[in-house]
Amino acid sequence: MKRLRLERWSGQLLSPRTRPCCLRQVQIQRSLASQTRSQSSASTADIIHEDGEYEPVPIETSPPKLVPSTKHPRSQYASPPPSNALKSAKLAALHARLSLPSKVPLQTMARTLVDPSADSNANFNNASLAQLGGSIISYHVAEYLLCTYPRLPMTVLFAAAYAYNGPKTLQLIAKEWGVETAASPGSEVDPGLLQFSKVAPGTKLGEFGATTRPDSKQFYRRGISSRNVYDDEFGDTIPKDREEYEPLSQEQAYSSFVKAVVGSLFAHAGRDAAKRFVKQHILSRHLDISSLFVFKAPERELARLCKREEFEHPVARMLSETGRHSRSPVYVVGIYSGSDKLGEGAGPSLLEAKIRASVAALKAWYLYSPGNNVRLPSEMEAKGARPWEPVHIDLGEVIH
Amino acid sequence: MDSRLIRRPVLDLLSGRSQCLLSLNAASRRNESSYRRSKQRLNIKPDSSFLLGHNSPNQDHIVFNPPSSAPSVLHTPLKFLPKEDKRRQLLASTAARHQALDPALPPAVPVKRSVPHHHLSEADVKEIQRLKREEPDDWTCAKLARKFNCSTFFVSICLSQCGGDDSQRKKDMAEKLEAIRARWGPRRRKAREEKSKRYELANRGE
Repeated sequence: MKRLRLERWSGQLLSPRTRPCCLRQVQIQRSLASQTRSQSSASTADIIHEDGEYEPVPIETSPPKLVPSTKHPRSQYASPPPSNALKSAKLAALHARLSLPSKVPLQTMARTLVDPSADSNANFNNASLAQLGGSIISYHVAEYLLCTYPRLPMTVLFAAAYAYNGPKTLQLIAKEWGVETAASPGSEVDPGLLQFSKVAPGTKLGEFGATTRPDSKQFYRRGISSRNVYDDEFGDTIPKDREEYEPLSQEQAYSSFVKAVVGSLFAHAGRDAAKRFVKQHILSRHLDISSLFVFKAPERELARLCKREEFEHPVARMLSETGRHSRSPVYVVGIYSGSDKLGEGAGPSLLEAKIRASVAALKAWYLYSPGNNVRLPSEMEAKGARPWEPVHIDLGEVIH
Repeated sequence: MDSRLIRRPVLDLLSGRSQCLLSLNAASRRNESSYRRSKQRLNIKPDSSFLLGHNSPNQDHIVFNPPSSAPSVLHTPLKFLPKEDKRRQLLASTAARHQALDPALPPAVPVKRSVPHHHLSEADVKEIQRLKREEPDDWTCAKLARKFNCSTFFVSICLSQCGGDDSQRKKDMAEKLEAIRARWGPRRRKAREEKSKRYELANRGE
């Protein structure tokens, strides 16, 4: 077996441990320190006498005295120092489990696990890596979806992107990798644990806060084209001016960790490695896109489609039936345009069978795929790639 | 397309593979006492298409005889393939062969068209609106449709431009409907709910 030489792993992302002395940071560190190290620090609880008189203890202006011990060594940093990364078994195991190339150093892996809410210093948290990785992931997912299913309507495209790289999926992926969260962030925790400030229990995770949309008064303006312009890749509003060090949900922390891993892979090992990683961990998952459709008036939509594409008007034809005038009849109806069958559906009534057949026909239209091994634009970046042949670009979804 | 977004993470959609396990309910479980009975029940005579006949090949071969099922939506019909797609020719030759075997199309599902279309003039529309404006309670949609021999849908389009205030009537009708619903028993209520659920599922194709 080949031995890993950890001391040889180095990276351009590592910077010396120098921090600007910012006032806010010191305050955060103080509050964190007083929270986490209450065991060793002096208790400052208010005193209530037996007769019920309340006597507030005067608040000390100096920081609470920390008594360093071997278990909780005193540190002025909010996250574990990079030198600890080489000693962490969890981190090395995670690195090996993901079979990351040795170009990605353990110190950067440790940095991907530190959320801005744990350490607000941008040189030591994963904010920049997550930003980079998130855009790489969403680019690969989007090009895969657009080239494989060129006719998908915008709503289904949003839903499919959410299913592939939404925060819920990224959280599941990170949990599958075996990443656990630290109870509370600090410099003494194992660098192999995900560190972030947790939201206090009972806090309402507000969805209706301020957004980056310019139409704050017209909050009802949430059409699909407006989502295209203002919202993120899943059609969700982007929250405005969230402070980086605010506590956040576990889902967000896990998802920015996964993004940061892709970002660090891109920074250290290059474009191809990041693309391969996204393909293996995110795009390899099975998603039944046909279950993401909802139609409102499928028969009318199909008629509009046939008119737009200059096919004959769709006609429902009875393929077979059983049990008419009984309690549970079954009708099998096919939708024909001219002599070509577009879709087929079965149902307990003629109307329902017709609806199902129309839905099947519409899904067959929207789920057209030029093939599974269609060339993606990112393949052109490889050396000596064949000249690009244009992919199929559709007219757009049916408007009725 | 509906503008609602369906939100679910990708791992929830893995149901395709686990369906088989889920369908193993308590009734189909075997144990020692029921082994012989269930074995006997499975001892069915094979379909004639699986049996060897005088025209079947002598050497080893694969019998491809899938059970009848709804066609997959991932198989794009010939008409929906774009012009530059290479599968077009292949499917066209297959379709031509099928067409030659059975040229007749199945019978069309009868469409109820009890009222004629596009037969009312501008004056008729004005008359509909006048009647409604003058006696709104008397001239209901159905009554007007009967008088002018057109659909209630067309009458409702005409009356949307009539300019009268029908909010009170709408409220009354909603109350009436609510009173009727309140009289339903548990069976009818359940049947109605199931029907609406079924149509919702049909609109999603599930």
